[in-house]
Amino acid sequence: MRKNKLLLLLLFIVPFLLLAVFFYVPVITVFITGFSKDGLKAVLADSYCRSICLFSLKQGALSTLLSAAIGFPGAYILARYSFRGKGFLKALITVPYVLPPIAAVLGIVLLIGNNGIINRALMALSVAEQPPLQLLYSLKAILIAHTFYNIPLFIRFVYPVWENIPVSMYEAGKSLGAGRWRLFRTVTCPWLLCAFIAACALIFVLCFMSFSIVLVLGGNPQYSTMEVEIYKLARTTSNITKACALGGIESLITLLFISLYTAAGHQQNSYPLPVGKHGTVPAKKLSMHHFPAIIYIAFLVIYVAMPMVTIALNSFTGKSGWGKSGSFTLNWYKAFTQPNMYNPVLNTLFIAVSTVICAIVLSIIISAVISRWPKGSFLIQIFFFASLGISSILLSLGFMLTISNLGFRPNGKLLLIAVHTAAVLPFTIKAISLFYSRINSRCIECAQSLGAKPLRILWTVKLPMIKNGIFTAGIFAFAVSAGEVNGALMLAPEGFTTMPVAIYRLIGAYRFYQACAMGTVLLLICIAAFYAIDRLGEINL
Amino acid sequence: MKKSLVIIICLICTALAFISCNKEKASADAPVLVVYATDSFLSEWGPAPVVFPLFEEKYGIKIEQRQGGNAGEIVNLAIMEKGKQSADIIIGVDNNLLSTVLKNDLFIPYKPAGIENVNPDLIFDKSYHVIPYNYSFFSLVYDSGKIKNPPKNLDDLLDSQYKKSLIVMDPRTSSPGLGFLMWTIKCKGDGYKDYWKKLMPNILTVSESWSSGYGLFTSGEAPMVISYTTSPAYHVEYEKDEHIKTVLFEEGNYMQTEGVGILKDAPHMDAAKKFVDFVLTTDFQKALPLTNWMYPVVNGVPLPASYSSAPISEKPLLLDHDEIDKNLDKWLAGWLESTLNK
Repeated sequence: MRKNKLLLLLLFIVPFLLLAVFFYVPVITVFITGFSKDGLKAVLADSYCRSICLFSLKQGALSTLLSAAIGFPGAYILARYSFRGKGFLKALITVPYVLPPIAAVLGIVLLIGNNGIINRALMALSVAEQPPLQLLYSLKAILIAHTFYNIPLFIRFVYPVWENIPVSMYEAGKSLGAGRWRLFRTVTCPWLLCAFIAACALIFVLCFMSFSIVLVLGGNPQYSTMEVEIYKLARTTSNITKACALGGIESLITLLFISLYTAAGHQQNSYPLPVGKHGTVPAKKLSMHHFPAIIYIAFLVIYVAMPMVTIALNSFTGKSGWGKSGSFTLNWYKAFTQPNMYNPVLNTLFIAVSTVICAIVLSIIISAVISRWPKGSFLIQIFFFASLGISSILLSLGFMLTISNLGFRPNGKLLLIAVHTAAVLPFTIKAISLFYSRINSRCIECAQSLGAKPLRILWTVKLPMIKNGIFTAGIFAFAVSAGEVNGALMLAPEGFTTMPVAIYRLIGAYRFYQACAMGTVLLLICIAAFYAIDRLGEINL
Repeated sequence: MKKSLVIIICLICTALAFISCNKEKASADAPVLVVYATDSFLSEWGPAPVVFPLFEEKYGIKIEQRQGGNAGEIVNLAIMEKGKQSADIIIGVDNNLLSTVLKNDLFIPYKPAGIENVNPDLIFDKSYHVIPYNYSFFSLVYDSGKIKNPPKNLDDLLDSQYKKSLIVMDPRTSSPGLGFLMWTIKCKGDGYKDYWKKLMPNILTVSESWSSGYGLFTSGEAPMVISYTTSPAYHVEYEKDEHIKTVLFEEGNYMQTEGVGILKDAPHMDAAKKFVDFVLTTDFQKALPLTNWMYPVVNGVPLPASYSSAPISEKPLLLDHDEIDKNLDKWLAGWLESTLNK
């Protein structure tokens, strides 16, 4: 028994070390090097810094509100209806994560840009001289791109919670004579509140720190976020002091929202899980009567899939179209017979699968600790979640400083897997602890009284109960790892290129259409992986 | 049954992970050269896969690459590592970074064999700390299908017929963006702010990087983009498309030159010097036009046929690197101010 505990403790330290080494040490190194009161004063006195801080907040808030408002019906439909292709829809809406921002921007431009598919079609129909649909290069365009990424995120966060509201709650309400609206107000809303807040807080943090989308699609430097200014200070004018001060302010703001994210998740972990096969409201079969739902699904598919479809269409284009019909070709796919095209595919698969396994194992351990030690669990979670809110530019700078302090340059695949695991832990711990904390302790006691050893309890009682969490975690881990760029650029061993890095390099080498082909393959692999993980989750273990 | 299937799959995946990780142990006996280079240089589609094997074969020295992002980041990293240097050379230091590397005393001076074959105007560091290997000009690249009368100078670019037709890059985050800003400063002096104010209506968007800006241009968003005089050559070479053209401006085009430098305390000094010599040989130089998309610096290196679409400016423009160093903050602030007040 004691031996087991010691082993558990050792395993428990691993994720903390990962976060400490790959996140806290670099960040603290940066701040030790650069942070000073003078820098902070300079930033606070700078009216431009204040105005971009306000703009970052504003566009973040708008993007979050829109994503939540548009995503809410989607969460309802996925939670309450069953229909053909639901598994595919779930996989599809997770894919935007893996798309590097540059590819997402290009996908959106190819769709609704001046020379995008929609405008070209409208111009062909109406013989208009000017593109009729003028959405891009404005605040609207920034919001469109952010909602493209984040409506799916919102749905992914909220629908599982909605689905798992115990049917007994509704039955109790009905027996007291509550109508549908009253049930929604008094049962569903309070139950969803925490998931809602958590999703919004996370979306806000992600949009707040947006960088290339805001610049390219905003069209004017008046739309800049704090990240842009940090980039300028850290890399163009090498003013590390001011960069640190601005990064510090940014982190304080994100930390506030991450605390909210953590607190909401923490609260939610105390809700009971539905018991048994018929514990939840059974999903209704979607039929033609529910046409608003059908229209919504169609809208969602178009909104989320179209930018990706345009990328796929461009991958079959022979040469730059420039208004004329670009010829159809398979050349960019034939290029996949070359090692410089197929190696990134294998590398990405390898890193992503390894990350999924590592992250799930470590997250189960952390979840076990959190559930046993409720007092400390808030702090533990903050420790893991804070990494979401640090400027990636300062983090890369921190990596560089740390590496230079080491005096040698470590690189290797294991290191990359470790970094990716550290990066996905905030998502996977949340997904798994959501279920782990709610395991009914009586089930465990029953098993114990029947003489089951801890490992057996884990295997036969706990794992089946947290299954949903594990598979959601797997999907998040795969998505984040498959789309990660910074770590893959800095820490990968010589000649080890992942797909997102290859996309950047192809575009950087003029090979725009070949990059579209690489992007399409990345998307297809991810859809397949998400679908497979989801199906695996439906098998009764 | 299903349970055991899942375990087996997981075990196989883990096993595969470890097998492929342990393969990468290299033999350490051969002489090595440790190279810092920009990501675009080391890219699968960049010069490294062509020229590194040639060097390794010729001298029997193994090259170890260390990637670090863009040139600015690599120089920063090297500055941080000063005194405990593990790398020998940096490839990709451009003229904008010269004052930084000289100020920080990062490189040793070295006059390589073959430097006499380089056009003296291209040797941007007369103290030979940074040896140039290729150069290009920032320029206006346009789609000749849509723009019949391309602007011939900076002032033409202000014409209202080009409303929302130009994609530029942000000088805060991109080197062509910075290059174009320098260009306007070189030609307009303090009047550059006024120039940018007037230019804003013609700008469709200010992208954060050359890649996304040129991607937008490729997808037909705008008919003009700030890029390099060498850009049209790509479309001729790989797409057999001559629609994309560039124009040399009457006042001249701003120049970018990239070079290589040997780090002080380089652990493999001999190999480093051999590499800098190699940089000026035809083997290295002739690979550049189609991989790095720049002109070789050595006289008489044959250019590919597609380079007939990539004219060389007779009036290269360049600001003094010390002046850039002193004024960069001020210039960027001025640029920002003039682009905000639309």
